[in-house]
Amino acid sequence: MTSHPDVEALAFFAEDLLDPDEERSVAAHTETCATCATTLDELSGITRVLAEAPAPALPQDVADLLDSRITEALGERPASASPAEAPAAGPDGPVTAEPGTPADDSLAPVVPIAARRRRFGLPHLMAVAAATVFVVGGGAAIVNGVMGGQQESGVASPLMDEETEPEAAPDTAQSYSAEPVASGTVYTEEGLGAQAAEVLAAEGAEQQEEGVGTQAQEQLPDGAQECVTRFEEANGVRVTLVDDALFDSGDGAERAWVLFTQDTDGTGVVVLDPRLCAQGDVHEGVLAEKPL
Amino acid sequence: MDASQELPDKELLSRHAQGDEQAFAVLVRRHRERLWAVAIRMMGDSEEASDALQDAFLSAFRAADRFRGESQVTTWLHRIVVNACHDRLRRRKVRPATPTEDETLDVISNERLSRSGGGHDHASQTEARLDVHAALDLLPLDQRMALTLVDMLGYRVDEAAEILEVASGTVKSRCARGRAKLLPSLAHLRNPQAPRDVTSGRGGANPS
Repeated sequence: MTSHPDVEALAFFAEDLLDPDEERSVAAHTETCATCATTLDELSGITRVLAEAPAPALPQDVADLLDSRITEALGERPASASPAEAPAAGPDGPVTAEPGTPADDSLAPVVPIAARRRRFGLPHLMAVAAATVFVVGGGAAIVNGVMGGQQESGVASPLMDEETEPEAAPDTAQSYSAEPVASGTVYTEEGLGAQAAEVLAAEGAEQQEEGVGTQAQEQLPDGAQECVTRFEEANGVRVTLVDDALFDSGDGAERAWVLFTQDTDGTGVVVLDPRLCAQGDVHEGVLAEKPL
Repeated sequence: MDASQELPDKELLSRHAQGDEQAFAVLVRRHRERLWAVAIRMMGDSEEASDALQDAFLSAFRAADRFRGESQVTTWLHRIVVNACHDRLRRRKVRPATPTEDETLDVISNERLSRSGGGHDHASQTEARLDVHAALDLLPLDQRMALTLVDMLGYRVDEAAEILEVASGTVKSRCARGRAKLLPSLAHLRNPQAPRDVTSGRGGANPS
């Protein structure tokens, strides 16, 4: 009979890692050696001990930290394209991190933190952008045309219902999305009303003819949804259309978000500076506005 | 609108690489719990696990355009997390002057035996965690990573091999060596379901 194999040899034996000769001799030995049989048993116990070592679940503060680090990283990332043509969406539609929607995560519950992120993450998300024009209302008939087209195109939203109760709480306002367009218009303060009507008309016609406007973007510019939501909350209006365009205030055209809004008094158009909006003040960010 | 939640990992990663600002966050949410489980078991400490996980996600964030799709995104993410943990463990290992392994294992073993009389479930769980990680700290990193993935987290050997980018046989032998090394310090824990009074220590091995 051979001497006791060392613990490592036994561990290798347990994993079938020994070469055939060694394996035979260890097998023979352990059959008659209680000590080594016990050691083998203890070795398999190690796996169990390791498997059962307790570990805390992902703490919420770590989850939040991850989110804010990612948001920071996004803010530091160089803009990937020129602002005017940047926000083209993929064919499958926009990628949005909807508040509270759990990822398809069978592994563990995902805690919704999107509400917080919307507030804190905004400045970073929007720092990249320059300025965008939100058209706030504008020709109710045309807007209805736009929305009707949207429904036909299969991206139906609860907007039609909500139009009957425009005072709906801000939260419900998030259940639909403003229609994004990129008309390429260079808005000016003087021409705002006419320009906005033109864009609306074009958009409305397009929607009705084709179901989906050719120039319609599938996704709001990055950060715009937050901006829209905030604007809606601050002003009690509904934004129906967002034109990612340019605004010339007299010293050169800059990127702007033109919001078309709608409330009980009718429709209007508001030009926002995305950078100012990003800093959290939608009132400061208003470059121009006009009822339609 | 919520389609992104169902997009495959690869699509999210490539959208992120192309400048999409939401895609990566979706990816993070999808995998953070699992990757946290890896990091916390590798590091044994919430703060360090948190740091490692942040490092890892930021690396992945920046390296997304270099992902070639040769492995699953999850495997790739695991690899990045494991590497981030490896870096931190290596630094941690360099830091203190470590006594020779056998000495330390004995000390740990004895300390534990003298401490483990308490009857509180929670306390003994914490003890167990401390014990396990104190013991793991003494292993060479390669063995530790392999054991963490296979024994602690239950990954198959071939999954661990892909994450660690080594052969399956290598994972097996690292695990075997690691278990052999852990035996002196952990054998007393091998029947955690045993009665609470563990004052008898490792001798009382007749749990049934």
